[in-house]
Amino acid sequence: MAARQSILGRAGIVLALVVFVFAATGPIVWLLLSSVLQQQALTSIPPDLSPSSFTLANYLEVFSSAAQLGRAIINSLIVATFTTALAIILGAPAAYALARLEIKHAGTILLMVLAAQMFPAIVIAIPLFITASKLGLIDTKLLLILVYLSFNLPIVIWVLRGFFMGLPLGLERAARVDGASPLQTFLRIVLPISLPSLFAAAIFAFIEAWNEFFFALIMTRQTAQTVPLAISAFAGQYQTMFGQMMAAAAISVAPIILLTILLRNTILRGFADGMLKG
Amino acid sequence: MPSIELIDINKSYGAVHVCKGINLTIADREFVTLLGSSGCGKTTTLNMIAGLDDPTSGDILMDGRRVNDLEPVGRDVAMVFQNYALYPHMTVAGNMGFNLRLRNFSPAEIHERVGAAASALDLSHVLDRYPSQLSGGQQQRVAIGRAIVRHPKVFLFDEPFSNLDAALRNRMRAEVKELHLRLGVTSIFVTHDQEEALSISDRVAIMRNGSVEQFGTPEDVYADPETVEVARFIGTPQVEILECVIDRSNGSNTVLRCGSASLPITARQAVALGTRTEKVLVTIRPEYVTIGGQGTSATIRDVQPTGPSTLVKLGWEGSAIMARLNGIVRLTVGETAHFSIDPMQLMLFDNESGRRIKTKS
Amino acid sequence: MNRLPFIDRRSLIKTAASGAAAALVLPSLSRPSWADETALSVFSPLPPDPAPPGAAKFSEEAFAAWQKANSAKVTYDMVAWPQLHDKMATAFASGEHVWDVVYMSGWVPELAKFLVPFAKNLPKELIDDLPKSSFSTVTWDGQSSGVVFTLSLLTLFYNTELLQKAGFTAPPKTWDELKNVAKECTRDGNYGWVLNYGDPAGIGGTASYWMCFLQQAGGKLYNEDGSPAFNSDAGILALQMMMDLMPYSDPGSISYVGINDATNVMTAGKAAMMMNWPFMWKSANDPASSKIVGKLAGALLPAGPAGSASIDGTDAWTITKTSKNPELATKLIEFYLDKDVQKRQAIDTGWLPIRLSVLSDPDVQKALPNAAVVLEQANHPYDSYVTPDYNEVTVALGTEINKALAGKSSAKDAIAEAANLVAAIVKKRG
Repeated sequence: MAARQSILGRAGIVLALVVFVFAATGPIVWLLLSSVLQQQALTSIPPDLSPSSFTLANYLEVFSSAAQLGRAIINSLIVATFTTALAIILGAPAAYALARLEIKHAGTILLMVLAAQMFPAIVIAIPLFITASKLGLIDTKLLLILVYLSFNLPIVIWVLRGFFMGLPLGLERAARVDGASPLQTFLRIVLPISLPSLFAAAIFAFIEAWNEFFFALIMTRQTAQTVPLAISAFAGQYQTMFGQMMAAAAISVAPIILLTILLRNTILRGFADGMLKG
Repeated sequence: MPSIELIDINKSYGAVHVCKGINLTIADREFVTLLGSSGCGKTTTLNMIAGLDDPTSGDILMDGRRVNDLEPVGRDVAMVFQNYALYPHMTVAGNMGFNLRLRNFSPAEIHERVGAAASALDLSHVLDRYPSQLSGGQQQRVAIGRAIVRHPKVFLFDEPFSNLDAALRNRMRAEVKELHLRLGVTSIFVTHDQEEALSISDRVAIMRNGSVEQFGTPEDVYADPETVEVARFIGTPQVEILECVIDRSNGSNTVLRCGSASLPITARQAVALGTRTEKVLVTIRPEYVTIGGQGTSATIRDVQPTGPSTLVKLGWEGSAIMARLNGIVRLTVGETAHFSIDPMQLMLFDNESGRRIKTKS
Repeated sequence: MNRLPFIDRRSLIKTAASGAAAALVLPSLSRPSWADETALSVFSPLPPDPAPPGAAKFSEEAFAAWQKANSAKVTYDMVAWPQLHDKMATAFASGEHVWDVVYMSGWVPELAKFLVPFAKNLPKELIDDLPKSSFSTVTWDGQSSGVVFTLSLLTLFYNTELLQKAGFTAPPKTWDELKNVAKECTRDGNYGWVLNYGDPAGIGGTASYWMCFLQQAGGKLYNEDGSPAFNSDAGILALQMMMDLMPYSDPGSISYVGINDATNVMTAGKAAMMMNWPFMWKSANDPASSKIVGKLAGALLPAGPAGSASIDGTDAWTITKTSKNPELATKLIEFYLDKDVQKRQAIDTGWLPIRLSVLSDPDVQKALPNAAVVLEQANHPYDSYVTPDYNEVTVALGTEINKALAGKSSAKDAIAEAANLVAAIVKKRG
């Protein structure tokens, strides 16, 4: 009986995992499929999946017609990487200080941090545009990094603060008894055990910066254009080149998927360490 | 010179008054336990001694010097935490040597000190492991090792054995006691387990509601409790507290009427009771209660053989009392038995304050 | 023309702009090279939407020669068409100099205060070669601030094969014929008629299609004093005509996002007729994207009680007030409208010229058989009724029209309600 139940249980788990895998990969499969279909095959109802409909032309056209995409990917990589790094480097200490140190007006500071990113983008767009223009920063990656930092930093601070507050106090107290200063405690104890959360926050910040569209549209001309703009180029007024758009999208999501796969082991190990009772 | 002195220590978290005027003087090399149920302020007191919490008012002295404003490292205290608080990303050696690295000890000296502590604690073979790869007892010893490599002036233990099973707990108690004998470092130990406190300490401070009820040797607090709460808290099994009326109707022969039973008292106790007319609280340790032959009659409510002795709960209308009989004694619950007490061993407490009514000796 | 209805965004931009003007007075630092004396910056859509030489692949040699002759350096700033408006609105609102020449599509009235009314300075020979009505959408308060560079009118497109199967050899010429052909062609899983009704606003939104029918019914949107004139028999008839076509159309078309969705149904061979812009001709004859190559034909929009009528796409060039070189910018626009450039624009990109002489050019008519139809359509009335609040007006109108198309309201009620809403918007205009 027990054996049969466990077989049934295993089957259930396998089934659930299969469903999960399909749900998770379905959109990506559809994206890849769309990127290798001719437009007329794709827009047929139902889509024409006969072998003659498949083509690599979309990828070739994306690479040849929009040399922009290559530059956009490099731009996005630079912008997203620096945004993420700065958001974590600046955000983690701030979050720790607000979580653990006795700081005057910590509540007010937190509210201000939150308020800073509650302004609708459109309200700050014009003042920001004027400032950037006067500083000669329009169409620079630096500007995008600064702008993205301004709305990623508050989120990183809030997320990490929540995590730091959830850490058992014991480790930090032990470090204090061991003679560690708050900074030493943060750097040598708190940060190493917070890797999973740091990575989660970092991936969040990276994706935010990678996907951001509105400010990239307003604040760039041609040289600092990012991936979302390059992809949007395939959706015009009268015509949407779905195949090329999907090809561009497939190329552009590749770095994020790659990043997640590369960091997967670190994240898992981090979680395993984090499981230990503090 | 006393090693540690707490003078009128108060601690409040907002409106919550956790420690209410604590005064303690701990001698050099002494092993002191702060004993109490949860929420009594014992851990807060320990944290204030460690320098992890600041008292709201009052002074903490170490070797006669006020240390209120010193960080833990400045007070030269080492602490073992309830959940061990081992650094999960460091090896056993890393955990034990962390405080030495922070103080810029040479790698050679760190190696030597960690090695010595590890061999004393039987940890030499696990120095390269991570805490998650250790058993509970090993983790506990790493936490202790982390404290002793520093050669601190004071050891602080915050309920260090509460996560261990009974057998391991007994062994660790013995190890800590032995460690204390060997190193001779002033130690303060927090626990809610009175047996642990009595077995390990030179002196026990029994805390209740943020105050020290009694501070004395294990013998003192067991045999001579100053309050009814201490009497109730110390000792296994917990004693029954009787509410008794003083009966002086029989001339000079004063007795206590406890429900339907009468208990005799000594002349000294009668003197100590003076002219008071209100009820008193009365208790007696079970070992001073005997069963058989003559005496007060009562019903056997419960019989617990424990091996070397048998615990018997005797009841009568309105009250009960515990007796401890030597060896295994066969008694039947529900039957009537006769018991007598040693009046010398009766402990009387004020009904209002719960304080002991002491006889003058 | 599938713009998202950014009403909130628009009004916010306006509000934010007034605050921003006072907000920041910062010293100018370095001046980038594009602000150089001989540099011209042009803001344009990305091809295949209408783009100038150098941005799109035509007349590139002539463009290089023009730059050399005028010692000018033209740089293009291009974004996909749907993003044009927000980007330019922000840049204009900031008051900063960003571009010299800017593409417009129906936004001239809204942004007129940022534009130079340069059209009057164009050579008479050029102006005489342009359809007079092409200036109506780039003129506000009597000032012409732009010049349309492609004749883009809605005309009828039909699938000859599907019509033949239903027994028709000629396209419908009247509303009654249109309804009949649509009805007969709705068979075998195909639709007789397709249009996108998902987006109420803008040129190419539901409201703009209704404006075609409105004019065909003999109505107009505004009175001389600017008040709504469409709560009339013509207005109701126009909407009723659209409702009458719904049974022969894809029921899903009320949630199409843009004309692309309708075009795809047509080029997949699943619909017999639609209204569309001239540009469709080229993509519908490209085997990579179309299944109806060689089966597409164009015709005048079927006549209503008042005859045929259409709306125009109003793709125009304008010059910004922040431009340091408006004269050079004017010359650049004249170059864009040069006869040869216009001819190459038509033949190489599929965007019709605006110059009447080029439209009648045999080479152009041969390359784009549809050109003759559009030219003929241009002989009938066409007005897109653009105003500074065009977006708000079309949102209000289009939303009510969509309710009627979805069967949630009658033509009469929808038009009456829309008239109330538009009257309120017009009142705000002052």
